[in-house]
Amino acid sequence: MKTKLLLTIILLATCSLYSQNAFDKRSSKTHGPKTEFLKSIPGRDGSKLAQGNAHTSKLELKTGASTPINLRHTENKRRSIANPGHAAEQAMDHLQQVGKEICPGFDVGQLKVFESVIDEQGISHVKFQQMYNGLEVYGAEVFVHMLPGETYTHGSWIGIPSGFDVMPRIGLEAAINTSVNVIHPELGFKPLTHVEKNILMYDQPEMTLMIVLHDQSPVLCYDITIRPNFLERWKVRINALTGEVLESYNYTCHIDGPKIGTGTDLNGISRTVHSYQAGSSFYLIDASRNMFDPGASSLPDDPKGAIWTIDAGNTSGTSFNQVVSGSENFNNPKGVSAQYNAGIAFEYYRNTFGRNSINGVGGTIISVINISDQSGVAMDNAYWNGTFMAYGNGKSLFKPLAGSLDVGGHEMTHGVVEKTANLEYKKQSGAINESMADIFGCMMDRDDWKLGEDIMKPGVSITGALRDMQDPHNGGASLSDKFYQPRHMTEYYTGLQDNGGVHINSGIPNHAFYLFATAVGKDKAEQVYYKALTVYLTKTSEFKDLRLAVIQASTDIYGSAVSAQAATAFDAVGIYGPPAAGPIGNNVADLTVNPGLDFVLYYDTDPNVSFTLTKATISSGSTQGQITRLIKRKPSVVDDGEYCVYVGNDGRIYSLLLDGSRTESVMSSQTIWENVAISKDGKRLAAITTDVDTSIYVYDFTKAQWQQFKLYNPTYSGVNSGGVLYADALEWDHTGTRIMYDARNIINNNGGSDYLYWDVGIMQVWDLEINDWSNGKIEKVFTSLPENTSIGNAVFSQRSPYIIAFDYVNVETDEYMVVGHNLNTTVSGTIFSGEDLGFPCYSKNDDILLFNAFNTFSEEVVARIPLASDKINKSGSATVLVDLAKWGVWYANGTRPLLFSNKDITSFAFQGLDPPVSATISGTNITCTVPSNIDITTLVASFIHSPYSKVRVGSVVQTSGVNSNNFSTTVVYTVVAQDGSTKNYNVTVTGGVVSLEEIASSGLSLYPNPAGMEIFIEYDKPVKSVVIYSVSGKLIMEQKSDMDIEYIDLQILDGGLYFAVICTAEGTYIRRFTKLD
Amino acid sequence: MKARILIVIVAIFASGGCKHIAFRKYIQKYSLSFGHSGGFTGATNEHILTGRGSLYHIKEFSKDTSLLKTIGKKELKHIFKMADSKALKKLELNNPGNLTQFIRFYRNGQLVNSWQWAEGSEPPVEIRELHASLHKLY
Repeated sequence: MKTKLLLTIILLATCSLYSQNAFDKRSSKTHGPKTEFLKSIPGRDGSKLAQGNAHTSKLELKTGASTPINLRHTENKRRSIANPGHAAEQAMDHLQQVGKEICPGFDVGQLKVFESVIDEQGISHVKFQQMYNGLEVYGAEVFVHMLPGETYTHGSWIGIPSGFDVMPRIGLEAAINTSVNVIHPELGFKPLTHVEKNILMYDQPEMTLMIVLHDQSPVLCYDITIRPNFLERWKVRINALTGEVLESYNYTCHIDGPKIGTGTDLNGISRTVHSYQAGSSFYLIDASRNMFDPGASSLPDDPKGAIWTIDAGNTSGTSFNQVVSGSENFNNPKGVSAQYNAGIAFEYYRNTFGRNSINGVGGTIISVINISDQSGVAMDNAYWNGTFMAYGNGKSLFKPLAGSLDVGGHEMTHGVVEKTANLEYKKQSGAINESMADIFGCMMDRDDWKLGEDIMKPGVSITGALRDMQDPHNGGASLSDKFYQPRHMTEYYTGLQDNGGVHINSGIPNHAFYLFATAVGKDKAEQVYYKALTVYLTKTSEFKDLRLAVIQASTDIYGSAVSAQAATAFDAVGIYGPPAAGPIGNNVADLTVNPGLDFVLYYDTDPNVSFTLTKATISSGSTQGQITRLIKRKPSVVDDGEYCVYVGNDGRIYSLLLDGSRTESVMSSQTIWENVAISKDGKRLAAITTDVDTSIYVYDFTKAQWQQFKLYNPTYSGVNSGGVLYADALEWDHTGTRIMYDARNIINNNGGSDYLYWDVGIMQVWDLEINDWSNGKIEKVFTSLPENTSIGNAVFSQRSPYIIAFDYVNVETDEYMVVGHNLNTTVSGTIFSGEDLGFPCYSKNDDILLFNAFNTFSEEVVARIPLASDKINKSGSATVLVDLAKWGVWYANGTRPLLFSNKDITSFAFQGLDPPVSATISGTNITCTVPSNIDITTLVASFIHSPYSKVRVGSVVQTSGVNSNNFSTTVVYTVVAQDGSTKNYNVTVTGGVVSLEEIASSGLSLYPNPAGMEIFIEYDKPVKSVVIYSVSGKLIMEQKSDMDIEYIDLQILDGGLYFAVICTAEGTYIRRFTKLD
Repeated sequence: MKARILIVIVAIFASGGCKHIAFRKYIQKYSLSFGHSGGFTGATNEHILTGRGSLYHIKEFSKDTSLLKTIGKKELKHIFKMADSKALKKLELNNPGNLTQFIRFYRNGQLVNSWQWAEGSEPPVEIRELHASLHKLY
């Protein structure tokens, strides 16, 4: 019988017996085949293919002394190639092995590495040139491509007979004279000027002694290049032994290639134009940048890595033509402008951020001029269509839009956004998308803060610009004014137009950038924003995320002084950060203490004891063996201590009553399971199988249904955190809706070794509001871990949902720790440093932590350590609780609520006003008065509510400091507690003005719209008054009735846009309508 | 016919307090708005085709409306028949882009259906046909 609980002296750690794969040790999956993370592929399983039985294929066709090579070898071993030099070595080794398959005389000693590269997919490509006695054997090249699982070798080899004479008999001068006499240049002989020589880097005929194949035999020859004039280049080969001319030809048959010329742009400025000549035509294809790929290009119609301008010919994009000139100079101002601006934008991104073109990898940049709308009417706009930038020629508002650098920069940045954060083009994410395009457009055209000023026609805009980041109001007073943008969240547009106001609300982040850049300088600001865009933002990022991203990027690059300026800039536009502490202000709530008796359930490792799971009573120290079954993992106990669940060594899921009856039942007879956890309320079960299926399976007892949830690594930024392989430890939160798990991950290191590590995530599997499955959304406890570290075996504290503890391992230093962590403040504390994994567990009061450890005899024990009040640090020394034991689980057998019922609003204000206005809360009534100049139809409230509750207005979830509401009538804020109970608060705002923004109402219709002589109102309640306003807010006409107003005579109105404010007994509604001329 | 209608109208007004529902048959039932919005300027270029065949253009930013032309009944009927077809009734298309093409279909002043797609993308054939028909009008 197991001895009673012991309290002994402080533990001494023993030497670790474990390797760096500490978390792996506990998972049977690690004992599978080495390629455990890949399912076996029939016929290619490592057990079936032995070394040296590699499958090869080759095509053998011997002609003369040249041997074509085409070999494929299957590779059994996983390759690790660190760098191109290493690749070359491996390629050479491979050729050494397979040389005999090429031809009998194949000699790797004749091979010289010409080039070795590792591409983006991690595939190595090595090119060898055959040399003989130091001479190039022309045309004899061997390529080795090291693909995953295969080596592909091709090329050709020329057999050089033994004793081949490499001593020329013909002198250099004689050879050149022969060459000059044999060529017939089309443009005749014309000596090159000094400048031409410099351009061509050519001073005199160039000669190389080499071996070529002539009439199927190797011949020693002079390979001579002659430039008889500036444009032509000739090749002549002369037998170095006999002087015979082997061949001669014009090397530049059409003189194609990049050219430089000039052209006048739309602003009348002469610009350097990079074009491409093909035959006698010159095209607006700039092939002068490093990104140009001549090998992949088919010119002029398919350039790769070029800056290319084409002409839509006043169509909407239904046909395109090249922009062509008869010389390197172009007489096409739109084309010149578009091409020039695209080049500037390319250089901006390359020189400022090291970005290679729009897509980051040297993709062709295409500009299209003369784009019109669908009917062929000139377009007063420009746009990015996902592939190219399109420029309209302007109509009534703009001049041809290609003439503006900030337009080109703006459109190109849309491409960059698409290839990086890929911000969704609607609502706040769309507004950030637009803002980024404006920001970088402005940074390219950086002498002012305006956009479109170069192409706006005179008199169109008060300021002469389309937008102004310095003052987004841009000369206007409200959204009714043309070219006006909000510059603060209090002016935030909440309508549906413009995809939720992407071009409207972009004024707010634009202004934040202006303020930030003014404070820290444009150079720093653009670096910060580029990093925020490419690293931290995601497709659904909102303004609050932009703030966080910019602050983080500032901290990364420049430190706290700059990030503080970022915070100030965002504060100034009303995009506030989260409160300093706690999830919502300082309202951090804890669950009540389980009122029951304390127990510890542990796994007995004493070989003299038959029981495995044993229950111990803390108060008395008495123990009772429960089962003798071997189990795979630590058991999971429901919160009221009624029973626990575990997976037996047979792979089945079992439950065990903890009432002393030792009643064990099979919950799942399938022998596929690896681990299981029961939710605290006993309503759901989470389990993983023995398969590497990257899933967590959840069973809901009410629905009697399994649901599979796939694991993935969310990319908060564009950071690649690798792929998830499988989960292992499972822990439910107190609500029974989220599962905290640890998972093994792999990062494939192209060209190097793969990197494996463990981390912890939290997955949302159940939705309390709809009482159904949730979407499986995952958040990581840490978005990235330091190198060589893994974390796992995470558990929640028993009272504080925001406190967890987990195991921490540094495989490089062989360091093991049990760490406490506050999810709200992100502060961690070291609780215990040991020699192996701890499998921590909190006591019911969260004042003690249990964990695995070793005593002085190197025996496994369950240890205990007192915790500080913060629950993440220790407050004393560790002692042994149970010797010869592991996996201690502390539980109590009382019942307590597991969901919070708090549903209060404790503070309410309009912080964005100047000065801020705080409201008074009296019971469930919230009241305040705002100044008379404040538009109360779009006010953003800041509020504090009970932790773990949600706030709604209607069906819209409210976020403090974000959502705008119309306070012209009382607004009901509904607080929904975690347990589903609700409380309504009536928010009444007095003062202010009502602005004329449309308020939709279901059931009320105004038609026809556009309207002619009259407009009809249809509503199921009587309409008492209708007031017509112009878009500028001027009252035009008013109609009242004691009965019901059914139509309004519009004859006195001019054509244009109006607002009808319609008052009924139920409320006031505003509808927009157009009066036709 | 016209006299009969006039008498009906006069009769309805004379009766006073009669619901305006009776006027519906004389009121434009359908209208379509179409165009594009977004791009560098964020402007909306919009045309409106009323049930009576009037084709209007609403100028960007200013919302000034001008009558372009009047469309014949046959063509009008064809277009509204397309817009009110079964295929389009159940078609959901809400894929905005940097430049977004849109068509909105109204009945009795109420928005019945709205389709929008990114310039450069290819919407379903029914939308392409309606779009092409609309843009041929001016």
